[in-house]
Amino acid sequence: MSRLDGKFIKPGTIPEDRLDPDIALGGDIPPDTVTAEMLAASLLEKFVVVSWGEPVEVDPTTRTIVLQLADLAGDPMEAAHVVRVTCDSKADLAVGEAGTALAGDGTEDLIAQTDAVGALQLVVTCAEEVVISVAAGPTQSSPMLDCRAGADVSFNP
Amino acid sequence: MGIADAVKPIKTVTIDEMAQAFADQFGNITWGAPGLEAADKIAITLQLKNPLDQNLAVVERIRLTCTEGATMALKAAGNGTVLSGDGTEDMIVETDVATGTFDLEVSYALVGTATVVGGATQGSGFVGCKESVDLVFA
Repeated sequence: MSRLDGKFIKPGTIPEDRLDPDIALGGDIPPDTVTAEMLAASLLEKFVVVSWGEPVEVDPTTRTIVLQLADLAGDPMEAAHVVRVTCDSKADLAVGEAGTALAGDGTEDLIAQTDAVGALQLVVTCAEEVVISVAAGPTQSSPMLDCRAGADVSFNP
Repeated sequence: MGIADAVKPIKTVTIDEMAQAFADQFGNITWGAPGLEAADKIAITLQLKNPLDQNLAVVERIRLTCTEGATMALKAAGNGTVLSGDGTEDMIVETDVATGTFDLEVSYALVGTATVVGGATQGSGFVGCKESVDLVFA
């Protein structure tokens, strides 16, 4: 037995009986272990999730709200992507200080692009005292999008 | 199995290795077996499945369109919710939260095949809609 035995191990010389029993042979990953958080950044950014900030009152008929893109791990995604945003016909949507309107600016059916940090500020205008639901969705040139989250913008006093 | 197998780099990750919560982020539309035609109507169930091919019991918003001349509706007492376009060829629906299903009923007065396809729409998640269904009306 070498005096170095058990102290220094060169690559490729580890006896099987010294492996941690949790380490599977064969390079396979145990079933049911891969999570979104384990994805490489370049893969994670392929899946874009829409999230919403809180509405901000500008005046009695105007609110702003920010749509923010995130990745599957929930981290903000700094990327410009195209989304379609729609709302009730009682309200209109326009692009505010963040993002770019591509079509339908000032209508209930807007196609817009987030800015370079993945943000799209929407200006919601409504003359009635109602709650306006705003929904995002994929459209031409959109990435793979998860738009399950919507936003409710209240115009109640 | 040699020791080299234990230390070789991981080269592939398969679908079966996805954690449940990760796999459940992705839904695919599948279709059950069509029912028998009765009064120019055929019922069929849309079922969401995750990439592990397990039933996915979540609410998902899906746009359904079908062959011109056919119309679609929720089957009486069926699972799911129609959000818009009930009784037309262009409908937006939500699957049932408890089962991930939508019980569709297609009406077609002609003889021939009515095709139904799904698609992502406003409020949809990561949903795959590659699988369509052909319903044959005699």
